[in-house]
Amino acid sequence: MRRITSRFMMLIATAAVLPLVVYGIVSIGRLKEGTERSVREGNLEAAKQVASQLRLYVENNARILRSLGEELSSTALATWQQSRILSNHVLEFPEFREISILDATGRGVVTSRQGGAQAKLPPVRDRATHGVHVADVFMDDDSLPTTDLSLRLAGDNDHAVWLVGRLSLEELWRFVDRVHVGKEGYALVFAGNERLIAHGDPAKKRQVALAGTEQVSPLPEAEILAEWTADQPTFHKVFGDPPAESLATGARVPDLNWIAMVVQPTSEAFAVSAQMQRQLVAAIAIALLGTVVVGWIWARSFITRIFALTAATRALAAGRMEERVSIGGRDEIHQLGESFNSMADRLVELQEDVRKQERQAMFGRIAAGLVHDLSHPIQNIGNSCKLIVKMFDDYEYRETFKRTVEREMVMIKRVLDDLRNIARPIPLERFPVEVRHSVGEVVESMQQHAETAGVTLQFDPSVEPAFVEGDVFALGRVYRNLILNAIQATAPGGLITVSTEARADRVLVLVKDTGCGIPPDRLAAIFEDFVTTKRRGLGLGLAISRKIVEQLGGHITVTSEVGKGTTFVVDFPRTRPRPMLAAG
Amino acid sequence: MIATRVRASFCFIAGLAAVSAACSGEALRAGPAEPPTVKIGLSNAGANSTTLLAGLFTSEPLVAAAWDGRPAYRLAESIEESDDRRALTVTLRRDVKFHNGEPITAPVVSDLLRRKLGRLPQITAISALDEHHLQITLRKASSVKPVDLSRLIVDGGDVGLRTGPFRLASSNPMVLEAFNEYYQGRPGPQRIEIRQYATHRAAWTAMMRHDINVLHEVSRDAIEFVEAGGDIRSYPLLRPYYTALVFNARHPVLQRREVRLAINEAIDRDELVQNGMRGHGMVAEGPFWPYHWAYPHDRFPVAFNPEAAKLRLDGAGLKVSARSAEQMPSRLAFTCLILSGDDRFERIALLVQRQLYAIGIDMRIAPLSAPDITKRLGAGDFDAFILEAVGGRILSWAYDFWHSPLPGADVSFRTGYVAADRALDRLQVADTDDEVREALADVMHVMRNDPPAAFLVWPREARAADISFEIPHEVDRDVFGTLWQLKLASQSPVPRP
Repeated sequence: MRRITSRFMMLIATAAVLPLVVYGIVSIGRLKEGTERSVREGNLEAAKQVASQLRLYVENNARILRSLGEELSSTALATWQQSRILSNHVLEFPEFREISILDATGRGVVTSRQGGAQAKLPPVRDRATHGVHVADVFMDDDSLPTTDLSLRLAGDNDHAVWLVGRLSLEELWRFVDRVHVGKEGYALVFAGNERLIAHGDPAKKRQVALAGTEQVSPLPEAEILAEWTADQPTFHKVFGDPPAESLATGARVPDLNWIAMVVQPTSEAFAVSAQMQRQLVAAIAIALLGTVVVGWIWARSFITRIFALTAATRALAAGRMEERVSIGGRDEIHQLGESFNSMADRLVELQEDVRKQERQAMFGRIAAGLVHDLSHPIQNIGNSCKLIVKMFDDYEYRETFKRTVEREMVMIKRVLDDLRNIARPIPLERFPVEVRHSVGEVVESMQQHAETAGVTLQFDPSVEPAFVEGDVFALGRVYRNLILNAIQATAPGGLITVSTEARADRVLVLVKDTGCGIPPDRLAAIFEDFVTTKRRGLGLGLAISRKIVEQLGGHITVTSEVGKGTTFVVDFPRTRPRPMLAAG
Repeated sequence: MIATRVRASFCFIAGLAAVSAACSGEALRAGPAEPPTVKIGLSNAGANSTTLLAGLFTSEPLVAAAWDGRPAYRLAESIEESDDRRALTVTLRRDVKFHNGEPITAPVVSDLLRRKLGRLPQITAISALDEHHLQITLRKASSVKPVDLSRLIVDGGDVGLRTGPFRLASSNPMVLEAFNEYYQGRPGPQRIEIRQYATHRAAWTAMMRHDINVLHEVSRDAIEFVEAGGDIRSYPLLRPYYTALVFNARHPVLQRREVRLAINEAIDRDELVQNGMRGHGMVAEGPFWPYHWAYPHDRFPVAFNPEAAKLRLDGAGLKVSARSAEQMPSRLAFTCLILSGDDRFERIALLVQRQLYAIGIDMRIAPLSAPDITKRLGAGDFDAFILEAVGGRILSWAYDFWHSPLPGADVSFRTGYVAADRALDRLQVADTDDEVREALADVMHVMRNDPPAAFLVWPREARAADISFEIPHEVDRDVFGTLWQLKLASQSPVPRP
């Protein structure tokens, strides 16, 4: 059975939850896509800013070199003057470790460095920015990234005079250190030869010093460089210790073969997105939960009343006629509850009426039965008393009078005993009783009644003797009741057959007549107290008979067909004979 | 060679002084987890620098110089001066053992110290009075103070006759083992290896590779780089050296007092610290340790006054004049020797050169190799030179450096400066604290009015160690002095073997 609560939940899920879930999934997808795109664009912009600053940094130093070149070229300076100017520049601009004037062979003509120039002429492949060549980055003795900036002062290729500044990129390194993307994001810079020249992550700083050595494996960030293009500047890659997926975005430094890279753990980069997703999921979940809870509460308030009605109905069916429902509200369910209560009240009234009628009927039947059963003996005794006055001197009559009064008193006593036995157990004594003998005696005693009624009563005993544990007088009463009922139910000319059967462990006594039969609707009630198919009598005979049989461990059944006859079967457990004590 | 030896010796003595200072306090004990081998990377040093550095951990003096120049007793339990102040009686500690397991005795110690009498010429004899007492006889009364004995290290040819927290296990490669019977406590590290590298970069890269876990010296330019690193900690120290532009008093022009005064006035020492040393140093007022207990603070501040210098030179008749096409017009010219290949001196020399040029002095810089510069200084063949000189934390170093050479003394260089001799003599024999303070002020006064040099800066440098090491450290103190107390930092990863 599909419960109504399930139907309600399905209704809520279909009408409210499902659209909300669909909306949430679509919203989350859109939100994630939008915010991640925004983060990627933001990080790319940050990388471009870093690249722009790096370009500016190099350009500023190139400008210093150009300015120095103009100063050296514009006037005819003595060597000592050039030397002094170079030294002053080195002192003024500490990022220049050395500034030297080199001839076309690379020999130092004038240098700020005591002990001779170390700066070198620019290779052809070096990049030039506004006339200043930027050499490949290398590491100096202190493991700081260094490059040479070269400016041609005069002459052609073979006779050129160069102004070369050895630039420590320490300031660049400091700038990169200051770049923070979020809390965990950092910047790093690769020179064109994939040499790491700055790393903003303190834990990775040593990679700068180790760059290019064989002892250290390439940075995972460096592996990106091979795939990096301006059109594909962003990568998701696992970096760090412990490894975590990060968002790496690179931008080329204009005019230089350098890549500025911004790396940020995705957990932080997309933290806002993730947080918004979590919030949205939470909101949807809360909405779902709220919908379910409200639906459940509403359904419960509705269904609970139906449940109350169901329970009350079942209570009525179980006979608890006092059960009533209290259903609130002013809707149809409330009206249904009121109707139920009215119906229950009416049922109680009807039940009381039926009981009253039944009691009255029973009293009537009992009274009629008593009248029937007692009037005849009393009338016989009365008639005999009238005659005894006249025939008191007749000894024979007095004897007859005596027997008549005693017989009728026995009848009266039996009626009274029946009434008494209805209310209490019948006292029985148990002895092995031979059934053929006891049944035969009763049949014999009832032959007079059968003849009077015009029916034939015949006895068909079993071949072998059969004993049952019983009270011979009580059993006799049972047999008499059954035979008497059969005689009374059988029209003159009919046949009554009493038989016994001895089976392995059972003994059966059958009383079969060819009487009018019992209607099926009354068949089940014939063993109840005060139930009879006859027009007169208390209706206690069969009830007492069943009571006796069951007290003796047997049972009694009946089969009947209206117009054809009725058969009563008394079934006892078979017992062994005890000859010494055998009775009847 | 001499210069190298001088500088290396300075390092050695200064390091010992730091060790002495660090050990004068309560000794810390190593934690339950034994640290692994300490591997020290040494760079840009002389051939025997590993031996000298090893001596820092293997040998000790009778007494060390504390941070303020007071004596911190080490092998000596006490030192008493005789009534005539011509002798010192040293009582040795009784709980000290040599590395060979024998307890130290006065006969052995006096025998070892007698080999080093050249370092303190004022000592005429050292003899054992009994097993635990030895007597030091002085040439002049009070000419050697107890703290001056920090210059006499108790060691000898037999490596077993040393008492430091580590003993020599191998000299090539240089390996030291913990001396667990060390009287101040069981050393934390059980092994020290000293490795030498040709350049700072090589040593630094070795540190990065974790081949070594302690770096002897972080160059001034790389300190910030180190400090920004994730797993290395730098330990700044104020070295007991001063950088000075030393004049040859025999130079025809530099012998003139007003010239030397003018040069001193023309030098902006603050700029040297900030621009020449990236702020890693402090201005030097003289050759004496500025934290010495007798130092006359605020009495001799250096003044930067180029205009006064010009007037002084004008008054001395030194006008700016053209010399040749290849030389700048100047009042005077001289050549300043510096050690080549050492950026620290070069940058300071360039700054001094520029500052002197501003008052018309042409200071030409001549970088020379260590052997060449040693030869020139020993022969007195120089105009001026810039070098680091040991100041130690005791006053007698200044006597040795700036007093005119005593007869028979081993002279590393000759400046010809004699003006402060009498004041230095008074300082040498000053007895009471007040006498020492007064004599020290007198020396400072003389050197201010008739300077033998332009005292420039006290450099502040740094050592570096793996962050997993926890080494007791006080501000500006040399962490090598407490390296033997190293232990693993709590809650830190175990360092790589």
